[in-house]
Amino acid sequence: MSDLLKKLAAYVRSVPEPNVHVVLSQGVSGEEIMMLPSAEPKTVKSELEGRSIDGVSVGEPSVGQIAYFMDGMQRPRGPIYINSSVPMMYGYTAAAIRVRGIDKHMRKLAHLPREAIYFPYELLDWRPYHAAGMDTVDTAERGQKTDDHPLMMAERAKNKIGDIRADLERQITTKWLADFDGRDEWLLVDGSLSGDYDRYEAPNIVGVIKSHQTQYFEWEEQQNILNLKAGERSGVFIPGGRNRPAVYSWYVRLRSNDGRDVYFGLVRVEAAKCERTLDMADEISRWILAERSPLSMPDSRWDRMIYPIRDCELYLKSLAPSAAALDSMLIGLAGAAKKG
Amino acid sequence: MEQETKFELVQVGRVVATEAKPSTAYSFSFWAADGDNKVGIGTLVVVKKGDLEVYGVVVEGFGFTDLNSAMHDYIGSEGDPGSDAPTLRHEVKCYNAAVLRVEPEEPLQPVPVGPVYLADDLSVKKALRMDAFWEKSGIPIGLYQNGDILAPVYLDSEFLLGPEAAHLNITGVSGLATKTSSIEFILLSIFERFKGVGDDGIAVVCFNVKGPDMLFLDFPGQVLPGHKYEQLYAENLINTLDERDAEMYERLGMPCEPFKNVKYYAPFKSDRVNLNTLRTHPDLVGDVTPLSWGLTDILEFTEVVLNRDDVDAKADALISYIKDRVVNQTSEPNGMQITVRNFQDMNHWFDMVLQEMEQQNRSEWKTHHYATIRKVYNRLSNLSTRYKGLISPDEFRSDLPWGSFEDRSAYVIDVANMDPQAQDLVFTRVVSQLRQHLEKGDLGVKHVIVVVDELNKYAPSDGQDTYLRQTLLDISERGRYLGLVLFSAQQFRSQVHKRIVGNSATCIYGRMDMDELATPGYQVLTSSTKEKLATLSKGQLMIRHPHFNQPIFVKFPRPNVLRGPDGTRMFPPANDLPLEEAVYQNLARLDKSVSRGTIKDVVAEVNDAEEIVRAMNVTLQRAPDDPTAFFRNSIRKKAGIKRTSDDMPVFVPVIDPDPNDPFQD
Repeated sequence: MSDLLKKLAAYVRSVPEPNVHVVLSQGVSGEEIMMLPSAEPKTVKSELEGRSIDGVSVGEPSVGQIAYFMDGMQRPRGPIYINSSVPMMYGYTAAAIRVRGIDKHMRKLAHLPREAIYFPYELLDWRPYHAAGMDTVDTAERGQKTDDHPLMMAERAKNKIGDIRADLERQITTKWLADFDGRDEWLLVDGSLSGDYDRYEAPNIVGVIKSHQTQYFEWEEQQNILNLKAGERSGVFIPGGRNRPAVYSWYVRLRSNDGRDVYFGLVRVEAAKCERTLDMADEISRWILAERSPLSMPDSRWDRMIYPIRDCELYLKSLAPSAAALDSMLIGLAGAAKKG
Repeated sequence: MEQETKFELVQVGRVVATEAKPSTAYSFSFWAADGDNKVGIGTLVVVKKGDLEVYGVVVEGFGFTDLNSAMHDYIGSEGDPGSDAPTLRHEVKCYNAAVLRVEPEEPLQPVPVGPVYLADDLSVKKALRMDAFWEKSGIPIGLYQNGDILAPVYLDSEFLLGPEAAHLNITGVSGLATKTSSIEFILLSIFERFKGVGDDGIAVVCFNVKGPDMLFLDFPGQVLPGHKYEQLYAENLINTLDERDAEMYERLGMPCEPFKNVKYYAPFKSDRVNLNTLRTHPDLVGDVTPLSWGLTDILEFTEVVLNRDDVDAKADALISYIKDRVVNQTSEPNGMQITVRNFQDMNHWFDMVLQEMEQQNRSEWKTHHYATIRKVYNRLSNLSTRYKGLISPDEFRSDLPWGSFEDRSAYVIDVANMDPQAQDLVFTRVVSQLRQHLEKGDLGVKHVIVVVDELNKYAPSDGQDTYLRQTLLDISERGRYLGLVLFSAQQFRSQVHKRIVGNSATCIYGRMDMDELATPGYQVLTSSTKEKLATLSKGQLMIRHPHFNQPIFVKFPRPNVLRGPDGTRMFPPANDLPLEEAVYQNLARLDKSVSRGTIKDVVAEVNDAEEIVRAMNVTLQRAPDDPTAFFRNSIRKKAGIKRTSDDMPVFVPVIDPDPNDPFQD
């Protein structure tokens, strides 16, 4: 159950003559961050290993030093209109790190959740909500004028929820890097590297990106990547177009895509931009290949999702207020308005 | 009384309710903690939420992972079952529990989501509603065991022995020492704990129906140093109890002892001197009382001992006449005064009646047709031959101590080697006598438990109706009002008469055959409970009792009673004795100074086995100071009497034959 929505219902009851309108989300699409592919190649630099981007076998999979796994989630709901045409979004966000013990069981290391209401402070007074004990987030971008279209405002709020999730991931990863600096274990994060990894000389952190919205190479080189065979990796390159510190990256084909889509089983790996990464690219790839088992079925992305990350997702979802509970409480807001 | 042991409640899981599998007021599901090894089928658990306490018993278990298909595991392992994945899938164990009790009882709501604890001592009492009766009328039946918890489980004597409900039925496959052992333990438990009302006494009548099963109830399963038979036990490696049993007795607060007061009864063999039982070892045979009934004892049961086709209305009328006007009275057929007290007298009386008719050339005697008289004479006189050993032709009678049954005593009647008709007679008469005396309140005790094994044989659901089956039905349907309780056992409950098992308020199940469990009577049990029943180890039972909403699994200690096969190994039955030796040994039991030579001479001199046996039995019955003289005098009194029947013609033509007499040819 959501404490925040309970407080919001109490708040609505306290408002004289409240007028509440709630739009229930359809499905859970808001939980997945979808971006359109960019047609513009984003490679900053390649041939870092003194060779082309062509595929090379990494050797037999081997269980390595990866013992920690990080993932995040977001669950937006709304928009909600309370005595105003300014849409507010409810957002539940969380990040978690799970640790794999020597018994091979996954357990919690850290969990960082946040519930908040998202709206532009410029158009809606945040103070009554804070007074009622609710966490709010301003959806306005610093220095930019707020859109005056409700749908644009709602869309911006959704994006803001994604930003907050990324921020939680950054916080939890930063703490891990600080706590585990100098130790042998590695942290694998779902998606691009986050946290302040750039502050360390050779941080034990690796990111695995399952989606391929951004194309980093010209078509000819991209074909080489798409032709990677199972157990092969591409050459290391520096991806561009990011607003975070640079990283080294390469592609790995986890599973054969015979008879499948070209992206089937293909992941992109990110690691810190340092000499050690170049030395360890094969080894890290072998570690990731070893994570192919157990299979992440029944997840639809099972070809690219490693099981510990699926475990993180399940863990995060098990602690999040369910979609049904949230919808029920949102509907209850209208009821609270009538009683109020 | 039992030792109270308290345990802290240990949380083992949490209730889980989903839309697909919701909690109800009568059942709930919970998942168990990682590494749990305490929860299993039959485990008692408690859900606590606020003031609400829900007691349940685990009836089904499931274990699963996040896998949707075995194929996914196969693919993930590259088809190699030995592959070593770096991460183990989450595996959850979920259990279904049936609600036993809810406190407070109202309002009755679905079980809430909350922590699930293992039931401790106190919780077991509450879960099984034993807190209301265990001190007043609790009979220990065994121990509920779960890890370190060993909690006594009680049956309510008011629902086991009446008056609220009664009877007990035990089912289980043979050879696992469940049925006999559990009955023995329960009987010992009843003798130890039954309180009753006022001076209510309780006794047990056991019908030993196979081998030596219940012939050594007074011998312990193990002996302490210094015991009379210590050496014999050691030589035969007999020590059936271990420390675990001792611990269980201690927890139950019961002494680990055999039956203190047991009396054995067995009929004679056809020679009427050797007893028809396996307890004939010279050290033990002295404790066995012959079961020998005379004319007056069995005349009430002519419908049992005679072929039904024989006892038509005419024969029945004559038998009634004999019962009312002849037996134990002096009559004067053909001018001769005869007092009919036994079969020999009766035969004499018949001879006189027939002689009178023939001499007077009459076809009827007191409205009874000649052929009917002849037929009844034939059938009745034949009884002492047909049931030789059980029915005495003479005045010798030996029976159970009707009217002086002792409290906490076991009366074992060995019918194992008798033919089915004789068993019919023994069951029917003994139960009939029990009922009559209980009705009058002059049996000596107020409650009697009748123990019968092999109900599949004696009270099958199908097949020919027998008096024995009718007797068992009668006990199970009307016995509890009188204090007559049936403890029965069989291998296949489904094949026993429904009304007998249906009237048993308490039912016990040992290890069961899967074929039996597949029958409709077990549909109420979950598949896991059935699986558990099919694999129960020795000493484990499942119990259904009116106070328990669900079947409960318990363990019981082995009774400290010598098992039948061990008993016959230690005390092998004696060979049948020749007449003179049997007479000597029997009389020597009365007086050790009896001379073997003298007895041998008397027997040789008389040379009439039947008369010798009669004289011996009369001597044993009277127990005179000088058995030899009394024995000799008894023979002299009867020997040489010329029987009227010896001179009777063998065939007498019937002037007006009875058209319905099937034996007229």
